[in-house]
Formats: sequence, structure tokens, C-alpha cells
Amino acid sequence: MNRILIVGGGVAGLNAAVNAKRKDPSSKIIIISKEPYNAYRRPAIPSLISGEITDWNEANIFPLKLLNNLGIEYFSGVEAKSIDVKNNTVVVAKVNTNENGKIEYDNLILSMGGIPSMPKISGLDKKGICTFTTYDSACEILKYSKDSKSAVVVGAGFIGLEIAEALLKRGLKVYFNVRSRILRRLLEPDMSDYLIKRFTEKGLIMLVGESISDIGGNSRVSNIKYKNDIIETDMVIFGMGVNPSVDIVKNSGIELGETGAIKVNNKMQTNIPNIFAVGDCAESLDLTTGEFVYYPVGSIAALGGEIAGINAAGGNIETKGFVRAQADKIFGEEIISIGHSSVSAKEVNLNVKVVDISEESKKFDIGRKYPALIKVVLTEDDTIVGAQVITKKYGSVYSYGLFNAMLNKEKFSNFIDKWRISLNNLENLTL
Amino acid sequence: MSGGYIVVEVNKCLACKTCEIECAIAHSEFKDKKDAVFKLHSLQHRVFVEKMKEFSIPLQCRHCEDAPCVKICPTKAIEKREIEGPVVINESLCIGCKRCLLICPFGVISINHQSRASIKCDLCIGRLKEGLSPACVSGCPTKAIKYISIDEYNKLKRRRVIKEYYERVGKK
Repeated sequence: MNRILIVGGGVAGLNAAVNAKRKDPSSKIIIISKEPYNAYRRPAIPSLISGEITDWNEANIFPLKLLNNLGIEYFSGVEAKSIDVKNNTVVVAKVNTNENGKIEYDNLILSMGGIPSMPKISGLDKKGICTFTTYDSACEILKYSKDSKSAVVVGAGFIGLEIAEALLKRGLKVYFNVRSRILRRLLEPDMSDYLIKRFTEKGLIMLVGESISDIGGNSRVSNIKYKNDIIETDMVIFGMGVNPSVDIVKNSGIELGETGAIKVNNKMQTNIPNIFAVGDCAESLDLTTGEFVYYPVGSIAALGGEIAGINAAGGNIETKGFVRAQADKIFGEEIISIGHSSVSAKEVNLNVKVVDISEESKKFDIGRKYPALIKVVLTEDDTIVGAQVITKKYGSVYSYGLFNAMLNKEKFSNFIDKWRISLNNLENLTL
Repeated sequence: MSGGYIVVEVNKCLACKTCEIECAIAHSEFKDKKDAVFKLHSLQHRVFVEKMKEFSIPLQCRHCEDAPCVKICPTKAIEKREIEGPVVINESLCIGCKRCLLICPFGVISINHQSRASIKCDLCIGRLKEGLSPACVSGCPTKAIKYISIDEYNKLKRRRVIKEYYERVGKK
């Protein structure tokens, strides 16, 4: 019997478990999760803060009933302490207790996720300092927001912006701090500028250009320093992205890649053949460049989980690579980013050019009624490797063609003809 | 009735959006419309009435045979179990990544405001099991939206052909 141990109960680990069980129903699968809860849909965290979700069970994913029916054992509140790759064992402990034990495995899947990245400034131990990657941290934000008049949100990801929006809805004065620009790795510079303008109009106070420093106050945060100003605030929320959670991997013999995440091949296998790594703790293969990159994104975690699960259960499948695709609606702006931006392309030494087709869209009804900023990122031979859209409505009209073109590695000239035809078909629509 | 399709008689659609309201209520926790009325603003519909000049049409998931959303979903939360069956989202497997929404050619997938899971028309499979029609169908005041099998649809078409023929030559 194949004993598969999965460390981490996020989407990567859970999808690995389900796929492993489907592949080999006779395998014994154990998932341990550090968080003392059942799995949940992370994009629902802003709903918790805005108050839109009242019953957290609605955010439950991969419910215990499903896992039990499949015969997967899920232990919450249990964390891995160390890995002994020679003897195929993991030392585990119950969170916040001294109870510990060992679990033996035949195949191990590491999906510990990421840990919120924090700046190196003083005062981070004060009350009112929050992150937002887990349910617990979201509850803290909720708790502090109740007696706060103002908040500073630091960082430039989608969820950070959503949380800023939620706090503004709750009536707080919200500052949004970003060192360089909004969604830097996802959008081109002029799109970031546009959003800064829009969000300012909506009431966010943008602190752009420099990181905040010096968190002041006694036990609770009372102010921060930005440039030379002291800004009064009751809470500071850091959403500066995540770093791979790889503490238990260090000195275990499992190799890390240049990105600091666990190095894997196209089977999501580490340098040790019976150990796999997926999700925010691991690297993943980029479809367009064939490079291994760090993509801490839910969908890629789940897709990687599928590959690892099947391979750990005796299968032999490879990924051709993953495409990042993200979308969100913030302050009424639909923001879509698929594949590479000029920034992320540069990180993998891919030479790209950015084509703006916003004007092209204005030749059609839909683009005149709902002006869209649309960028297409092309390689030197005109292959589409990325796309970005900002619009008020009907963003998916554009994304559908762009996403397909990317997945099929289409040439730009080929795409743009089809795109014009599809927009032309929408002419005269009463939008 | 399984394997049915939603068919719209476009010339009967008034663009009154009753189908949107019926859909929103049918997919809410409210059993009684009277209770739902005051919460309508927070309910979400999965059918959308779109207009083009004098032409209007209620649009919902096309339940594609080779559905892009089924292929793109990383957790297989979207499934089409039978060739003639509906494409359905298993919300408990939906991780909220929005890839389906980005790839859908018809723009009929949306996000649940509360749980942030993807939602779309499920052909009211719950109601079908109880022997009812989909909510948009039973609610349409002009019977512009129909839920019928392929056989019935073909029969309707055959009758229309005969009617047209009769109008032209049969009356003599």
C-alpha cells in the first residue's frame, strides 16, 4: 500500500490528495494542516472583512465529508517539524502543545504554502499590525477595525486592495501604501497610474513611492512614518506578497531553487524522487518561457497539486507549464492580468514588447460605452505571452479571446483579426 | 425530463427581466417570494437579459458540449457529467480563482458576492428533479423561454415548416 503524506491543507495539498486517491484508490492518504480549521476559499477573506459573508461555512472548500467519502484522512492543527528523507519520516506536532509524533510515508507531498512577507522596520510587534493570508489574520483585521478610525494597508496585490476597499466601506479612513506602484508585476505602468487616480477619487489616500517606516505607539499602533510625515493610524495591514514557507525543508537534503522556493521538475518532483512540492512553497514551470518561476497563485497551486498527486500515486504525468490568470473587481474597476507583464518577463530574461490595443477597442460600441485599457505583451516574434485589461464592465469579453490566444501561443496578427470580428459581432448591443 | 435545453422565442421576449428575478430567488435561501422581495438587491441572478436595438434575449450558460470552463478549472469543480446534461459548478471544490470567468465566451459566469465561488446557470437541476421547470422558464410571462428536449424542439420546427407551407400553398 502506497502511503502518501501531504504537508499543508491548502488548495495544492487538497487537490493533490483528491487526485492521488482517484489515481490509486488503495493508497493511504494523510493530510496535515497547521491551521486548526477546515479548508476555505481564500478569496473570501475580504468578504469576511466587508461583512458580506456571515456564515464562514459558505467559504468551506474540499469539505470533510468529501474527503472522508474518498477515504482521505485530514488532520487540522497539526504541523510538520522536520523531515528525515533517509528514513522516510516526518516529525509532526500538535500546534500549541508538546504532543508530537512521527509519520512514515512512501511518497511525500510538500504544500506548506507561503508566509506573509514583512518589511524590516521597527514596531512590528505592536497590536494592530495585521496580515491577511489566513482566516485567523482576517479575524484580527476585523477585530481591530471595529475600534479603529483609520488604517494603513501596505502592499500592492489584489487582496490588499480588496481589503482596503472593505475597510473604506466600514467607514475607516484608509491609506494605501505601495513602494513602487500598484500591481507592479501584473500591470503596465500607465495602468497602475490610472488605478491610482481612480482609487484616489473613490476615497483611498494613496501613499505611493516610498515604503512606510517607524511604526509608533505604545502597545497599540498609533502612527507610522511616511517620507517625512507622521500619519496617525490605529492599524497597519501588510500585504506585501508571500515568501515560500520552507523552514522544515532547510537542511533536509531537499534542494531550493534560485527563487528561494523548493526546486521541482515538470512532474512537481523535488531532487528526492519520492518527495513532491507544490503551491506557494514551490517553484512552478512557466508555459511561455519554460523557466521555473515562483507563482504564488491559487489556480497554479491547484494545477500543480493535480500533477503531484497523480505522480505520487504511481502515475507519470508532466506539465507543459502553467499560465497565471488573475482577475478582480476593485472599486468598480474590473482588472484582469493574464500571463506575463513587462516586469515579470524581465525577471525571466524574456524580451517583450507591449502593444496597446485600447484605441482599437474604441472603434466598437462596447469600447466606446465602457472604455477599456488593454495591453498585449508579445515576444520578439509576436507571440502573445501576456495580456492586461482594465474596464468597468464586460472585461470577460476581452479576456476570453486573450486567454485563449495565450494558451494556444497565438501570433498577435492572427489574434487581432479574430478579435475585431468578435467585437464587431457585438455591435449595436444595448449595453 | 433530462437532456433538455433552454430555447428562446426571441420575438416573444419583452426584456421585462422577470426571468432574472425568478432566477435570483430560485438560487437564494428564500422559499417564499414575499420574503425575498426585500432582499432582492443582495441576490444574484444567473440569466442576463441583453438587448440589441429592438431585439432582446435572455442569455444564460450554454452548457457547451466541449466547455472551456470545464477544461480550464484546476480542481475539476466544473463538470459536465452527461453529453446532454448541464455544466454544473460544485461550489465546494471551487477555489475562487476566476479562470472560468475569464475563459467563458458568453460572459455568463459570475462570482458569488458572499462566498466568492463561481456561479452560473445550473439549469435548475434541483427543480427539474422535483418535476418543475427551470425558474426562468416557469416565470416568463410571455412563455418566450422554454425548456424542451431535442426531440420536442425538432417537432416544433417540423410544425413550423408545415405551418409556413400551409400558409403558402395549403389554403388554396
